[in-house]
Amino acid sequence: MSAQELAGAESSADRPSLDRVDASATEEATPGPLRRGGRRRRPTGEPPPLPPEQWWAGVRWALVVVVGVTFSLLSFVYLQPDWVQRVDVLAGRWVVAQRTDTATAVARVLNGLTDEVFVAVLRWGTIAVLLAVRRLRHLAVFVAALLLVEWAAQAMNFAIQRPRPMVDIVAGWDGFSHPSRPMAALMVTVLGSLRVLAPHGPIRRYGALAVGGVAVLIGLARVVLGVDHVSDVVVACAIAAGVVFALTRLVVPHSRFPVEYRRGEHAHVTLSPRRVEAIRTAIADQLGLTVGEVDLHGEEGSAGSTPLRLEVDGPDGPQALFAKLYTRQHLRSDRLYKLVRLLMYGRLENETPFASVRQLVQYEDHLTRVLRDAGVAVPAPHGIVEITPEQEYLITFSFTAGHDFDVEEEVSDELIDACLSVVDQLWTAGIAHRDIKPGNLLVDGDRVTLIDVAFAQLRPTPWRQAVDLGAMVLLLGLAAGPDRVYRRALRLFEPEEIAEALAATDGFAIPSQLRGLLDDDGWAVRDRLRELAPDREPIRIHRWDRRRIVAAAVTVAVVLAAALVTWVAFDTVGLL
Amino acid sequence: MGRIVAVALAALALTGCGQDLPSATAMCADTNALVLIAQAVPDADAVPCFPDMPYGYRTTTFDVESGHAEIALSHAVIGLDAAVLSIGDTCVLDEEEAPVDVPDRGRLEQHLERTDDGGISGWIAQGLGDACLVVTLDLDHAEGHRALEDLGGSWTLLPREDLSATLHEETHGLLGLDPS
Repeated sequence: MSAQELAGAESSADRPSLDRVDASATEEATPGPLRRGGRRRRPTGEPPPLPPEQWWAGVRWALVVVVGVTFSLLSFVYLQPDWVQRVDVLAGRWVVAQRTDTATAVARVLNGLTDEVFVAVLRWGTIAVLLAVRRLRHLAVFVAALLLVEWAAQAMNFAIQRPRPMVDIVAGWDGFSHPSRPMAALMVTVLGSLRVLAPHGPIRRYGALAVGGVAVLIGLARVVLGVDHVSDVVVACAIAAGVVFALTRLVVPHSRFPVEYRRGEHAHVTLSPRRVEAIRTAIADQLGLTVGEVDLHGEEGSAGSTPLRLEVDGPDGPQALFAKLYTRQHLRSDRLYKLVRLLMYGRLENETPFASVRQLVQYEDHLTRVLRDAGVAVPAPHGIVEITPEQEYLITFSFTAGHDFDVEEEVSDELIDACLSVVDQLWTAGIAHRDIKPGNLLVDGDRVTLIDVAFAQLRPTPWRQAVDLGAMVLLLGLAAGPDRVYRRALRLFEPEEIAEALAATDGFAIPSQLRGLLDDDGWAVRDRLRELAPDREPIRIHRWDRRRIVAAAVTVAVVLAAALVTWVAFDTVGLL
Repeated sequence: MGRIVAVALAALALTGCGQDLPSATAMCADTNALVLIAQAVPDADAVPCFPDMPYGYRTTTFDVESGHAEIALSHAVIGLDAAVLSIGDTCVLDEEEAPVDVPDRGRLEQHLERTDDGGISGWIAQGLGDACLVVTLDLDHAEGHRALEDLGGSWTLLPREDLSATLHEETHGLLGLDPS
C-alpha cells in the first residue's frame, strides 16, 4: 500500500489500488497458505478470528438445573430409593448432634442472611444500580432469574411435599423443605447481582468463589438449626447457580454485553486483548496488512459504531488506518434509532432496519464507494474484515487528515463552496447523507471530507435531500454569517431550493449536534436565512401512515405488556 | 431482541403459572402435608384432615410455617375462602377480635350467625391439647347452610400418634414425627 493511499481522502479520479493485490499476483506460484502482503483464505473448518460465544457454555449450566430437578423428583417422588433419604437424614442428624450453644448462636446469625427483608434489600439495590447505569438487558435477565428460581422452588416444594427434618428445629421456617426456598432466594440474588454488576475479571471470579463459600456456611447453619436437610440446601444452590449462569451466559455474554462502568456511549464494545488479537489476525488474513497498535479513536462522538485507529505497516513505516467496528449491539442501536424516527416522524422517516451486521457494513462500504464514484470527498475504503461471522465486522478506511468543522473558526469562501458542493454532489448522485453536522465534516484547510455515511440513503425522498442542504447552510451560517452563506449558496442552488431546504429544517429534522449549536444561537441564523430566501411555508414532518400507526400501536402494546410482566414478576418474587 | 422477548414471554408464562401452583390438599392420606402441619404446631395432639374432600370444596391455600398452619378452602358456589382452617398455639380468630379461650380437649365451641341473605358466618373452635383449631366461615350465600353441613361432617382429627406411626411405616422405620 502506498503512502498516498493511506494519507487521506481520494477522489474518483485518483482511486487507490492496493499494492497487496499486485503482490499477490506476482507471488501466486509461491506455495503455502500465507502469502506475504496478500490474503490468506481461512480453510474450511478453521474457527474465525473471534469465534462466536459458545452457546453450550450456558447450556451446560441449564443442564445443572435439569440434573438437580431430576435428582429431586426421582429421589423423593418417583423412585424414592431408601439410601438417598437415609444418607440425607443421617447426615442431618449427625450435624444436629454436634450442636453447641455457640454453634447454634453463630448458625442463627448466618441464617439471618436468608431473611426476606435482607434479600429484598439486595434485590432492590441491584435493580437500582442497573437502572442507574441503564443496563436494561441485564436487569431483565436478573429479574427473570429471580422469577425462574422462585417458580422452580415453589413448584418443586408442592410436587415433592417433603416435611422438615425430624429433629429438634430451633429456628423459624415456612412451607415444605425441598428445595430450600430461602437458600435458593439468597443464592439467586447474590449470584445474580454479582453476574450483572461485577465487571468480568477477578472480582467476578473470586466473588463467585466467595459466594460459594458463604453458601456452604449458611447451608450448614440451616442444617445445624434443623430447618433444612442437606439435600434441600444442595439442590437449592444448584438450581440458583444453574439458572443464573445459564441466563447470563446465554442472554448477556460478556463478549457482547460487557459490564463496565465508564463514561460515554454504551454502544461501544470493549477492546479486550482477545478482541484486539482477533482484529490483528483478521486484518492480516483478509487484507494482508500487519497491524500494530489498536486504539479507540473519537468514540465520544460516535454511537453507531466503535471507531478505531489502527497502526499498520506501510512501505514507509507505520501508518494509520481508520476503522469502524460493528457488532450486534450496534445493529440493535440502529434498529431502535430507526424505530424512534418512525414513531416521531412517520412517513418521512420510515425505513426497513438492517437484518444483520454483515448487511450493515456492506451497505456502508457500498455507499462509500458510490459516493466516491460520484466525486464526493469521502475517506478511501479499504474493505470489510470479518471478525465473527454474522456478528462482528470491521470496515476500514484511509485515515483522513483534518479536524471536525468548528463554527468558531474563520471560514474561507473556498471552504464554504466546498461544503455546499458536497450537497450538490449528493443531490446529483441521488443520495441523502442525513447526518450533516460538524462532527461529520472533516476540514483540512479549504478542503472538506464527508464521513460517516452509514446513515446515508440512495434515492431518498426529496424532503431528506432538502434537509441535507438546510443543515449545511445553517451550519455554514453559524460560522460565516447567513448573508454570506446565502450569497455563496446561490452559485449552486436555486432560491426556491434554498427556501425548501430551510422550510424542511424543523427542529428534530436536523442532527442533535447541530441543533444544539442553533439553540445556543437562538435560531437567529435560520430566521435571517428565511428572510433572504423566497417565502415558503415550513414543511410538516409529522405524517401518519399505516406503518407508523401499526408501529405506534405495537409499541404501546409492548410497553404495557412489559409493565404488566414487570409488576407481576416483582410481586411474585416479593419485591412489591 | 428475540431472546429478550423470549425471556419476557417465559417470565410471563412462569408468572402466570406461579400464581396457581398445585397445592397440598390436607387430605388424610396426604401424610407429608399433615406431618408438616404437625411440625408447625408441635403442641397439637391431633391434626385436622379430610378423609374425602367435602362436596363443592377445593383447597386453594396451604400455608404452613413454624407455629401456625392455615388451609383455605374455596366453594364452587360460595367462592374463595369460604372456609379457612387455622391451627396454632392459641385460638385467635383474627387480629381485630379478642382471642378465644382455648377450649377443653375435645370440646367444640361454635359461634355461627345467619347473614342477611341466608348465608352463614362465624367460627368453630376445637381444642387439640395445648393447640387450637379455628375454622372461620364466610358462607355468605343462600346456600351457606348446606355448604356448612357438607363441611361439618367431612373433616376429622387425626391423632398425632397415628400420624407418626404412618410416617414410620412409610419410611421403613427411618422417620418418626417427634424427635426423641
